[in-house]
Amino acid sequence: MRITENSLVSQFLGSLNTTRERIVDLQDQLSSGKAVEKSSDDPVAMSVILRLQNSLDRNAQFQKNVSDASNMIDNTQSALGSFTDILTQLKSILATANNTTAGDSLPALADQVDSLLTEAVNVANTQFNGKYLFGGTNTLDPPFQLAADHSAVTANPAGITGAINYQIGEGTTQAVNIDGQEAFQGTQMFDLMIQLRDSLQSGTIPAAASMDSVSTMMDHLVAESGKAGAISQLLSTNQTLLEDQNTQLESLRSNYQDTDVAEATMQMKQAEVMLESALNTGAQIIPQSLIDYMK
Amino acid sequence: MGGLSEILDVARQALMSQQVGLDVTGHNISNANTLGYSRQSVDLTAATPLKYSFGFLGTGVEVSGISRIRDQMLDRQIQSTNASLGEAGARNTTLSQIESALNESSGAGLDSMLGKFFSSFQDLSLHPEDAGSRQVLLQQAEELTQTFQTTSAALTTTSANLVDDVNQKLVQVNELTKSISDLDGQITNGLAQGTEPSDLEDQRDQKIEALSKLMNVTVSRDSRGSTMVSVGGTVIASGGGAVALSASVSGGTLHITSQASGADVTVASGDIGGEVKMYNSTIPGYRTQLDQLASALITRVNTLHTAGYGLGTPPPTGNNFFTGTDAATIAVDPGIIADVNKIAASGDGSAGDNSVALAIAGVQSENIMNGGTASLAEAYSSLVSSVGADVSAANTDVQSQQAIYTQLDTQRSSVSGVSLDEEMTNTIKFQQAYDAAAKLVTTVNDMFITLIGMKES
Repeated sequence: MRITENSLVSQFLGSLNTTRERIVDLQDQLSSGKAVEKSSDDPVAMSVILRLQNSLDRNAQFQKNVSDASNMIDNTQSALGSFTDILTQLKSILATANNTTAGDSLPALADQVDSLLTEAVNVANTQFNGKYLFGGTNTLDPPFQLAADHSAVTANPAGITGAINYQIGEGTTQAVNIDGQEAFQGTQMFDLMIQLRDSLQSGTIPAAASMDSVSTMMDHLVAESGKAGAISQLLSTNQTLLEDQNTQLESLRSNYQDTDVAEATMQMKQAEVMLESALNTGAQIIPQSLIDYMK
Repeated sequence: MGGLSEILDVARQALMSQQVGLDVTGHNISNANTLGYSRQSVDLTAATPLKYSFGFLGTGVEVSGISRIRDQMLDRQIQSTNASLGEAGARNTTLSQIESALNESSGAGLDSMLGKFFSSFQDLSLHPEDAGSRQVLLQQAEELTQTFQTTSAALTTTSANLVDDVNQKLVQVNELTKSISDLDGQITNGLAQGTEPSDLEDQRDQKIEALSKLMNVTVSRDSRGSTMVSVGGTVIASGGGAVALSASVSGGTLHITSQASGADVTVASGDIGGEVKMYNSTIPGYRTQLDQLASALITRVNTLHTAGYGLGTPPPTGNNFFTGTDAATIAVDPGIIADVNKIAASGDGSAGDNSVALAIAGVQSENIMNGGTASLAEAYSSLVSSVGADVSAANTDVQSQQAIYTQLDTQRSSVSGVSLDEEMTNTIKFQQAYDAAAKLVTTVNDMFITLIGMKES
């Protein structure tokens, strides 16, 4: 085959170009840390990467949801705890009343019960992050209203029920509130307190049955608090699960997308050697011609 | 038997012929780097001998012609490779533009915008009574609609650029066909007069080759040496003249038409063919997928949203979230932009209920695309991968066609290219023959002197 100078030159330039393209590609992979940057780099891998990225983003959102939910349920639990404390105090006031012989100390006890009532309504109207925790889905209005003369407690007429569900995982939602109806059995607890206060006020020692009622209510609150605790526990387990998933997804994504630095560095070295030898050969062979030997 | 003067005649012709040989060698060396140049060689033949009683006596050398070394078969292969190369190149350039418009790697693409949009609905589900999360949601929704619009606009711009590009290339095509037909006239004239206008033929072949990169041309030659160039069955250049082509868009389709007859010309490949294909089928295909995505999102979110309640007394309901029908027109409802409390999170009107917000956030994983088989993100990811696969295929095509072209070009260079070593060898060859012929003249001269000296002595 006749080989002309021009074909020698264009072939040399062609292979030099291929090697340089390879070097630029590897350099890009090494400097960006990503082996797949564009869909055309590897369409199949890219679609997996997009899906993984999607799952990672959703996972991050679920973690955020769970953390918000935990805060809410923990606050609910501590509010229920405060309410239980109030009932404990109520019980000790009742015990004092029962042991009292002098009827004139009863109105003073009534005052104590009245201040416990105010406190109890406040606790039932606990707000967290702008939400009334025990309002059901009516989170903007206080669920319980204490009349100005403390004669009655009324529930929000719009309702104090309704579950607030947060999404805490793919296809999993969790109710993160305990509504006022469930927690305080509507206004029953307040009604009992008003009844006891009024009875003490009028100098009557409350019947033993009312002591039992308070105990029943305390049991109920402890059970509700336990329920909140269980939700909190579930959320924390879920959080751990999400974190594990995140680690797995991240390592999968990295497998598909990130540059294998050792591999790329080795290929880069190879390409450099190729470039050097191509340049070397070109520089030696191309300038040679018959003219060099003609006198 | 011839006399001494006849030997001088032979020497003179030899001197002349070797000089022509050097001339052609010089021409080859001068054009060693000229694009499209085919090396020429001088055809030397022995002159007609004279018959004598003892046999034929040669009368020296004569130049019978100067021929161009060219392989027409290789030319044809190069032309067809050129058309495929041009087509793959056009696909590659256009598709790469679209790929970067989809912007997936930068995290500002539709995929991540969709993710952020649905995330904002999740955030709203955490605080349905809060105006802050509504404001963030509105911002994300506006970014999402903007991304839809920019992506759609990028496709429109790419299409518009293609029309510009095709028009510009048609100007080149029309210039090329005109000079091809002009050159053809000169070449057939030359051939009719019995000389081969090699350099003009080189120029014509060079222009046909440039043309073959732009469109898939078919070249045929007749017995007079005239060339007829046609594309898709329409003759666009011949000795009789050139037919100018122009491009026009009608009914969303890009047509190439002959200015002479007004008829459509089918350009299947080459740069222009590739661009026409992109404009007429590939880009509309992507656009349909994008529009389906936008329209499914609009319909599904609006259905859920109109049934929900916003914040207020009474809580607003029955409002659409999005307006528009496709990727180009999708926008957040102006009513919602004016008042974020119209964003419906609640399913029953109570401020703390988040069932609608949760339902809309759930659209992210609902299979509402491709007849209920894919989620929005999956459908989008399949669009991204199909663009990626197309770019990657175009890349491969460019590389393989380039390799074939290089191979063919090396072969052609092997046939037609100028080798300086060879030309230097020829220089020496012709120079030595010239020297020897000159020596012959001096020898004959000496013989004349000897002859004249005989008489004097």
